Formats: sequence, C-alpha cells, structure tokens
Amino acid sequence: VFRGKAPFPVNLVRLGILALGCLWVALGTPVRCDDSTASNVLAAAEKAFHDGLNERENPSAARKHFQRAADLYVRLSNEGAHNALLYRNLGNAYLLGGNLAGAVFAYQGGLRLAPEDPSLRAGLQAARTRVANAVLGSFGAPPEPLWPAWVPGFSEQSLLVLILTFYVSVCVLWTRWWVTRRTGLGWVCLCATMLFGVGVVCVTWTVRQAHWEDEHPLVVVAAEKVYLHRGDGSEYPRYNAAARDWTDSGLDAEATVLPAGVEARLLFERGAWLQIRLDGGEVGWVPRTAVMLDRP
Amino acid sequence: MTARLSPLLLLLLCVAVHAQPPLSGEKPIGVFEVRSQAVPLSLEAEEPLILTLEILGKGPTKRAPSRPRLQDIPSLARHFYVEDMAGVAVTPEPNRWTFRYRLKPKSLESRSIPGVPLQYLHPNGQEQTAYSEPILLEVRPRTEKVVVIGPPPVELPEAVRHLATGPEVLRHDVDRTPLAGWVWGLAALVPPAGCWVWYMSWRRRNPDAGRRARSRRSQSAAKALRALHKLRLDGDAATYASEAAAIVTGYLADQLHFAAQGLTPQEASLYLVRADVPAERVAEVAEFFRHCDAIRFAPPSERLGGGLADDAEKLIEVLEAERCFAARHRFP
Repeated sequence: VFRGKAPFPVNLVRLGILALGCLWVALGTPVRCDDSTASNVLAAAEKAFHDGLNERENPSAARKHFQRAADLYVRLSNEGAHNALLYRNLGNAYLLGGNLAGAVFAYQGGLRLAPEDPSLRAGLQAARTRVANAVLGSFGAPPEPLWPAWVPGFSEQSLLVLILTFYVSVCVLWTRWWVTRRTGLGWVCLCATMLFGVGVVCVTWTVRQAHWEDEHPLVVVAAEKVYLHRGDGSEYPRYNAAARDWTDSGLDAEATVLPAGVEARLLFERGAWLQIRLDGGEVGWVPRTAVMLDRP
Repeated sequence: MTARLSPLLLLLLCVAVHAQPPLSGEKPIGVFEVRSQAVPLSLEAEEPLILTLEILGKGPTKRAPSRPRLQDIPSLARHFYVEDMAGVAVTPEPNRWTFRYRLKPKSLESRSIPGVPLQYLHPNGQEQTAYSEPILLEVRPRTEKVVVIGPPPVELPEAVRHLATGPEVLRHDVDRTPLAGWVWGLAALVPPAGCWVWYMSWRRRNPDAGRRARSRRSQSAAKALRALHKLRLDGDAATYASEAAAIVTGYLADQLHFAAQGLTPQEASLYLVRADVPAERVAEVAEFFRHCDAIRFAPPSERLGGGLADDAEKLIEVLEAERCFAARHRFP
C-alpha cells in the first residue's frame, strides 16, 4: 500500500558518503610518485654519483656517471620531488659532469627554496667561477654576490624575524629612555635607531630585488654557440663585446658567443625568441631552444 | 565570343605571371648577368667567408630570379659548407638582386669558389646559363689557437662531492610565498603599541617615578638634580648650605633668565611673583633660601644642614611637575 512519499534510499546515502570520502581523500592527499619506484631511482642516482667519484682517474667515464646521476635526479623532479636537497644533488651531479648551465639552474632552484643553504651557495659560486672563466670580459659575466661568502643568506621570513627583533629592541630602548631620561641611554637609542634604519633600507632593497626576480624569471644559456641578437631572429645583428656594438657582418669571428651557464633575466617573450638582460646591462634576444627558463 | 576573349585572357595571364613571386626552381625570364664577391680571400680551413652573389637584369625582366641554391651545385658543395644568410637580399635598385651566403672551406683543396651558374629563359624562348667568375682563395692549414681568457679553472670545493641521502630527498616542498602587506603592517604597529601599554602601566604603578621622570625633561632641572645627588654633607654645614642654595639659584636663573648670583629670600620671591608662579610655591622657595641663610650665618655649633639637598630636590620636582615655568617657554 502506497503511504505517501517514499523515504530516501539508505544505500544511496551511503554511496554518496563513500564518494565524498573518496573525493576528500583524493583532494587531501598530495600527488606523489610511487614510493618504491622513487626509492629505486634515488638509489640508482646515488650509485651513479658514487661511481663517478670512484672514476677520478678517468674523467670522461666519470662524466658519464655524473650525467646519468643528473638524469635520474631530473626524473625524480619530474615525478614530484621538489626540495633543496634534491636540487643540491642535481647541481653537484651537473657540475661534476661538466654541465655548467644545468648546475647553475639547479643551484638557483634550490636557493629559491632554501636561501640560507651554504652548500648550495658554495656550489653556485663554483659553477659561476667556471662560467666567468669562459666569458669575454664582463659580457655575460655572472652576477657578483651581494654579500661576502661568510654572511649567512636570509629568506624573507628570517629577515622579517631579524628586523622585527631589532625593531622591538629599539622600541623598548626608547620607552626605557622616556621613563628614565638618562643621557647615556639616549645615545644608545639614537645609535640603535640609526642601525635599524640601515637595516630597514637593506631589507627593503632585498625584498624589492626578490620581487623583481620573481617577475623576471631566470634564464640560463644552455646551448654551446649562442649569440645575443638585436631582434627576435637570427638575421638580426649580433653583439660584439669587444666593440660594444652590434655587428651584421655575418662573420662568426666578429660576434661574441655567450658560453653555456651565463645567467640572465627574462624581459619579454615573442614566439620562439626571448628578450633577456645580462648582468652587465646588455639587452638582446636569444632563441628559446638555446636556454633554460626557470618558469613554472 | 571565345575568339574575342582570348587576347584579354592572354593579357591577364601575363599580368598574373608577372605579379606572382618567383617559385623555387622556376627559371627567371629575361637577360641576366651574375657577379660574385667573397670576403675574406685568405683564410684558414673551416673558417667562414661571406659570398655575395649579384644578379643583374639586362633589359626588361618578366620573372625575377629566386635565390640560387648553392648547396645543389656539386662543384661548390664538394669543397664548401654552405649556409644561406636569410633576410639580407634587399636592394633598392631595380633589376638587381643580391644574395649572401656563409661558406666554410672543407679542406685545403678548396682553393677557389667555382663560377655560380644561373639558368634563365631568354625573352625569345631560349634557355641560357650565365656564370659568375670563379674566385681564387688562399686556404691555410688550421692553426690551433689556445686562447686563455681569465684565470684557469679553480678546483671545485669538496662540498660538491657530497650527496644528501634519505627519504627527505624525495620530499615535495611548497614554494615560499611573499609575505602579505598586512603582516608587515602588523609587525610595524605591535611593538610601539606594546611599549605604550607598558609605559602606561608603569605610570599607574609608579606615580612618583612618573613625576620625577617628567621633571627630568627640563634640562636645567636635570642638571640641578644631578648636582644635588652629588652633594654630600661631609664637612662644614655652611658650605653645604651655600652649595645647595647656589644649585637652586642656578636652576631658577636658567628658568627665569637672570644672572645667577646669591639670592636673598626677598629677591627670589620677587622673581617668582613676576613669573606668575603660584604664591604657595613662592613661599616654599623663600622658605628654602631662608633656611639656607639660617644655616650659613648661624654660629658653628648650631649649624645643622642635613636634608637640605632632599628639600631642594623636592622643591625642583614640584616646580617642574606643576610646570610653573612652562608659560615662559612658550612662543607668543
């Protein structure tokens, strides 16, 4: 006997709850590569790296091992691993394997995650020294480090904590002076305030620089024979660093090559060409296929 | 009808043929001359040279020549690597086409650039070929140049030979995001606010200390209070009283701008009354000076100056706390 509206089917409710549960689990769990596969790849990369270290007497064989290790680390990165330790290993493998561009790119990627890591900074500095030996004068020379090597690197967060601590100290000192009116304390307050002002200027500059770099991604020259062109095509004049001018003679001897590993910042993109700015201020175009671009 | 249209069709066909760009492989129609020029003429094997090819039209040209493919000329391709230099075949002169190529001698046998042939159709319908003059080259053996730019490569640091191991290498870290503006704003506001709260609570707990602190804001008061702190009744009470009176006189002289000299109680009262100091405070100051005089001019056996410095300190603090001289420091 039909007695009004049928109740909602219980099984359907259970099914809905189950589906929601599955969805929640699917959304909440980060996508990761198969752990066992990743572990195997990691073990293989480490073995290749150590094989390369053991081949010190045979540099060409060692280079192959390091390149294999680098390939395996890249595979791990492609499968979802993303941390400073991975990029440090990748940079080391690239550097020992002779791939300066890859090394610079990997170390820079790691430093973005862990700016205070001294190993990453040391590796990047070693790679940059090698690049600096290959460039002509200042054309394509790596950027000079802002701080000496012994100064620890700071992330934006750690800088904030540091400057906040200093700010609180200055506020407390001034309040204390307001209470006691001691002349000596007044001088201490003035000195502390001046130091704090200098710190604020430094932090502001650092933060602005970081934001500028976020807006202009890193470009690393990866191919062997790359020229800086005046326009977005190979027929445009190429840069001659010795003459500090563009040359359209077509002779290779008159144009200056950008060696692999040279760092630049992306300004503009048009088709298959990128407009870049080198650290020395030179602006020109390079083919997209000849560089590594640090952009998600 | 067909017979009447055919001349028009022929004319249209001629215009179409004339207007369309030359297709690769199509022979140009007209009379042509080919000239070539190479730079440099003396070079090393595998060093590039630029070959400029000029095609000159003699008379009217019905179809322009396209870029000759030097790669397809066996005598040239056998001895040279050929690369077209695109985008430079622009010439303002009519009936003149310029093409540039980058050539690299393959070996020392590449002693000359052979004449470049150009096949064309003469307006009378005959197929003809024009050749450029061959160019002699001096190709030298390749000398290995060792160009050392900058210092030799430095030894890599030992740190690059170390690997990070363990499951942390497989971790996925989130990229750091820049801090929001409100975080910076909060960081800028919280410390001063905390200090202000601290100061207010301190004032509530120490009202006298607050008054003393305010009195120290006057520089002359601070100077006088420091001098009074240092004043000790070590020897003669008359000297002690004189010094205490001199300190208070100096303070009043700074505040009221008169020459600091020994003040009598009457003189001090006169100055204070002129400065609109409340009568009660005037009386206290006069009493202090009277007390000092009493000690100074009393017989030595009756001189007792203890507490005079404390009295002077309290007097100055009261005058400062009540801002008795504040009006004199204001601008009109």
